[in-house]
Amino acid sequence: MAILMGGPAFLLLGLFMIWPVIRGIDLSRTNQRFDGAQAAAVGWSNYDKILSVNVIRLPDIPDPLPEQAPTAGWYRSNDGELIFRWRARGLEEIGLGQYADYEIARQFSIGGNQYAVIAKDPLFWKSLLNNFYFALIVVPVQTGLALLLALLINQKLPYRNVFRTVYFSPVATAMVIIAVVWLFLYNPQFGLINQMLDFISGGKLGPYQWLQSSSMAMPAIMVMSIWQGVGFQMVIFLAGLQDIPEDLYEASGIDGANAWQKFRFVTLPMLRNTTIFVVLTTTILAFRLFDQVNVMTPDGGPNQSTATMVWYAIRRGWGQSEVGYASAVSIVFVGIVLIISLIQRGVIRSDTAE
Amino acid sequence: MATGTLSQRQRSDAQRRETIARTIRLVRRALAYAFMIALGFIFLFPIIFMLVAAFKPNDRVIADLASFRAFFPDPSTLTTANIQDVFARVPFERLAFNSVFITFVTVIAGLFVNSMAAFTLSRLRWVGRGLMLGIIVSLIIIPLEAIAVPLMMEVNEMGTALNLVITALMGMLTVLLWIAVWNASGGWVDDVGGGSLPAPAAWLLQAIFTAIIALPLEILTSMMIRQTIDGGTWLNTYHVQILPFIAEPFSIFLFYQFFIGVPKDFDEAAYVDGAGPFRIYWQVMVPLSRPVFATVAILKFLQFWAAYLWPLMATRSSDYRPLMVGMDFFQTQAPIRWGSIMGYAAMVTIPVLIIFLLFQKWFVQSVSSSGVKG
Amino acid sequence: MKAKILVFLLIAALVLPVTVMAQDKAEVTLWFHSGQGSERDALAAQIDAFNAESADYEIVPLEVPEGSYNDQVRAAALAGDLPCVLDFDGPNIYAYVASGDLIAIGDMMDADMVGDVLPSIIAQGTVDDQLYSLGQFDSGLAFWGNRAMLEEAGVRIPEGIDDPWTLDELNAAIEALAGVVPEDGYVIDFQFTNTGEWYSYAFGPWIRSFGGDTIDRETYETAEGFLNGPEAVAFGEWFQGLFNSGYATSTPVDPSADFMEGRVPLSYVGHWMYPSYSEALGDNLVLIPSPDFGNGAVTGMGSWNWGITSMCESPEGAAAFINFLMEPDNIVAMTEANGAVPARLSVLAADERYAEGGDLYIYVQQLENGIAIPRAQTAVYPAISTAMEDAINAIARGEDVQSTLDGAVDTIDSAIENLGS
Repeated sequence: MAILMGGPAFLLLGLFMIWPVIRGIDLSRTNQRFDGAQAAAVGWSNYDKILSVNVIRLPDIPDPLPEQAPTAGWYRSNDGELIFRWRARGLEEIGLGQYADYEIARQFSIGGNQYAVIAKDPLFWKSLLNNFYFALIVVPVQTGLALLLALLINQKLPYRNVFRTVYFSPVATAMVIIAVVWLFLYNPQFGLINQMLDFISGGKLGPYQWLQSSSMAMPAIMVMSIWQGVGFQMVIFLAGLQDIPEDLYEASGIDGANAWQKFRFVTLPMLRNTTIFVVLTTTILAFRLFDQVNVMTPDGGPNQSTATMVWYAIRRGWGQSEVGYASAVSIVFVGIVLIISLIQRGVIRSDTAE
Repeated sequence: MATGTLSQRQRSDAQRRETIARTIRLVRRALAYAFMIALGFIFLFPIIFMLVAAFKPNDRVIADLASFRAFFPDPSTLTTANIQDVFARVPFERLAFNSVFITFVTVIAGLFVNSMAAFTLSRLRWVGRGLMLGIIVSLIIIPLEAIAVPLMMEVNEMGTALNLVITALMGMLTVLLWIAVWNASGGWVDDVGGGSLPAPAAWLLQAIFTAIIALPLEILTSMMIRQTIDGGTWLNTYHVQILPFIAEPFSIFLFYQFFIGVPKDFDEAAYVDGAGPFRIYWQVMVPLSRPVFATVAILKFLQFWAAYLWPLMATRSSDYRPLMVGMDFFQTQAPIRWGSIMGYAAMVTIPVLIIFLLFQKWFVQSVSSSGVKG
Repeated sequence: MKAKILVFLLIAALVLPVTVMAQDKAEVTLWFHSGQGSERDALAAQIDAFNAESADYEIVPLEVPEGSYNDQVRAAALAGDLPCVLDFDGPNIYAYVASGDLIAIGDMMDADMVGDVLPSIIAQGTVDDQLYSLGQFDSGLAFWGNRAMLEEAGVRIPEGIDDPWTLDELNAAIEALAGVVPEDGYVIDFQFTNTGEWYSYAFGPWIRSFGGDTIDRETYETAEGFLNGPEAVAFGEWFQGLFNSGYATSTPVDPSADFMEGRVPLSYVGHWMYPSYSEALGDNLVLIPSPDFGNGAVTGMGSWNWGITSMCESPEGAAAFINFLMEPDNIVAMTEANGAVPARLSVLAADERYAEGGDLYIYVQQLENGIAIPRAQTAVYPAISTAMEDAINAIARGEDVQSTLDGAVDTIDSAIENLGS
């Protein structure tokens, strides 16, 4: 009977979730392409390319710097940044020939010496870091904001349901649609957001180059994502708040607790499970970040500042037709998210054990 | 406190305190409202902007951007030109039908399949149950986008044998759904008619209701049979957008969470009466778990309605494409008509917002009673 | 009673409707990109006319959004459900032929008609001496100018292709024009609302005119030193300067409207804006040939054209339709609608817009005098297109030119490497 009743779901899950993962592992060891070219087995080379990272010492900065960028060596960009140009052809001459397959991901200096983190696929690492950046900001901010909204609405004020509806309405709007509308709002010259900041601050704030600058593009996507998603977490917190027995508050009131103490010693502990649920689901969603990026910055944003892992896998697999490589990226991505989830659960467990 | 024993002064003190307290309450309330209204504006302005722009002439959309006129419809220039342009440019009715059909079938079939799976996990004893639960919980974290490329290769290579198996499965599900909904809706029809409907009318009502629920799945199955007969790939069909998403780990998890909270006495009472697991699931569990069904239905509805990447990859023609992918029709060569884009965005969003406004109270209640709280 | 109804329902559930449509004509599927409305209407009318006229074939059209057109073709090729007749942008032909998606059509085309087609269109459709595609029109690319504003700024308007602007002259013109644009305007529109092919088509030729290129056209084995050499960097630095000084914007909302409403004096866009622009500006509209940046003037060419796929079950029907499209009347109707250069010499000769002194004569001059050059003729063209789109956008945003172009080269070279493996 269990087979009959659960069978359809387990079969479909196996076919459309587990099997693609297995198929993905399979594909990730080939150089399969969409456009019909014959695939050959390439062993682990895709993974090698994704995961190879190294730190090397770069040659010292010459004085004076050359006028024109050399094939491999230091030059100064127009906005004064020191850049080490890294082209395979020139690496032999400066004794770095063995790293011809690598590219520079990041430069730093320690004690006057110049170093570089090099990777065979810097964009993958950049995407990974962007995902972490997004998750580290969005998860706490969105959870906190959702709790704040829930507390506001949970006051026994007339018309509170109107506000609940208003805060939830972005959730009911599809992300693709929202992203198109916000593209418009973020426009540096005409966008409403710059206009409003200008109006509110009396001309002190802005105009910001939202999606056109590498420092602002990701925050712009974060703001929009939080705006869209926070209503849902708010509803979950509301449900949690309504489950807290009224007499707990009454009892603490008799003990002379003020509003803050009530919140600190009654509300928060009672919301513990809700908060865990919200944090876990928001984290998963944060790592899935794709739709917004794809609509607002299809090329991954200024200096790839909005590239994310899913975006990267789709770009390589769908946009550039490299199915094998994209599958390898996807598998690595699934592995990373799995590890993060396990860590989170472990932290919660040890917390509970105490 | 007995007022009779109070002196005049004490009374006036009490009154004063009362007044002060009331003023503080009023001020706090006013502040709370002001804060909530300000937040409300932040949450609404993009949507208002979109709705207003949808009914403006194309050139005013840009011209009004620079001012607060962006939020106010100008009665003198109200126009439906954008909406007409949308109808002229994309087969809107067809796309809308596709979206509704795909979403409806995925949600209905998903509720059925996932809740049954959760029932077996939470209520029945069988070998491998714990392992299965572990697998499902870990699958929650795998986003579709991460497996989209291999999945695309897979549905493209779907052979006839596998096709037959899946089609047969869908056929069985369809029949099961017919029977189950028919049985369940009997009581519902009695509720509606107050139990006083003449038998033929009651049956007709029951049949209509059953058909509404089960017929879309039936249509889908018949399409799959055709495709199996005709051969060809899954790409550019309805079922390529439906089947991969019917079984969904997160839904199973939510149902499971709720089901383990239902006391065992209910089942035991039914077992004593000689009911089998399916009867218990259908006549005990389902009526008890309406809130979680509602929650999952709404969550999945929002998710599938907004699906974009997979339909874009897996379908080519407007015959099968949903509304979200239709957005691409406007992102073409110059001149881009922003008015039409906003018109389209509004047309896609308004129905969902209306549905949401009608059901939101119910939704919040269902979330709070379905235990979506970890 | 209840049991009876249950049985009835079961039967309903199991008797599944399988409809078979009767066909008396062979269906020929066709894909086309959704361009501008007038272009779409013209094609729709021609499809209807063909279907009315043909006793044997029924064309079944499908409109695919341009933004993801190439992705969709690739996915359909994978799924084995390519249409019979395929509309595609010229330079993709090498990739399609390389993966065996197109069949040669030379033998199926009317010989007199082929003899009358513009050499550039024949060249665009020919791979390894076999003809694979034909188009109704070629594209024209040059500056559209607002005559009144140019005159107000005292800028020389070139008469034809013999005296194009030099780089210095163009820079001077831009400075002068900056003095006459309104408060909410800018000087040059580069159509940055576009996605996809535009950036390679529009700016690849300029890089060439600076002395660089998008790929080594001798060997087609690398872009190293061509797209990231000093000449290409010089182009990038100059181009970036225009955005840094506010002469151009990478975030326009509706650039074509900016030009039509007199906020921008120069618009760099192809022939497809001619119908709208001439309607908006009338005699005030002037076409200015591509500038000479130091290595001769270079501009883009090639356009959407028609091929027959290898999955086609009735190539005869497809060929009949392409022959039909290439009839003079149909070419006239299409080029009236989109302002493109008619692909047949006889049509060109009869069209006053393309005669000497006509509005669009400069396009013909550019096509006939080797100024308009094809995009890179290689199977990795799709990668070049993507790399150019990303690079030009990054440069306009102000990112370091050298590293941006280095990145573009890496993208193209890795595509070449992947294709070879």
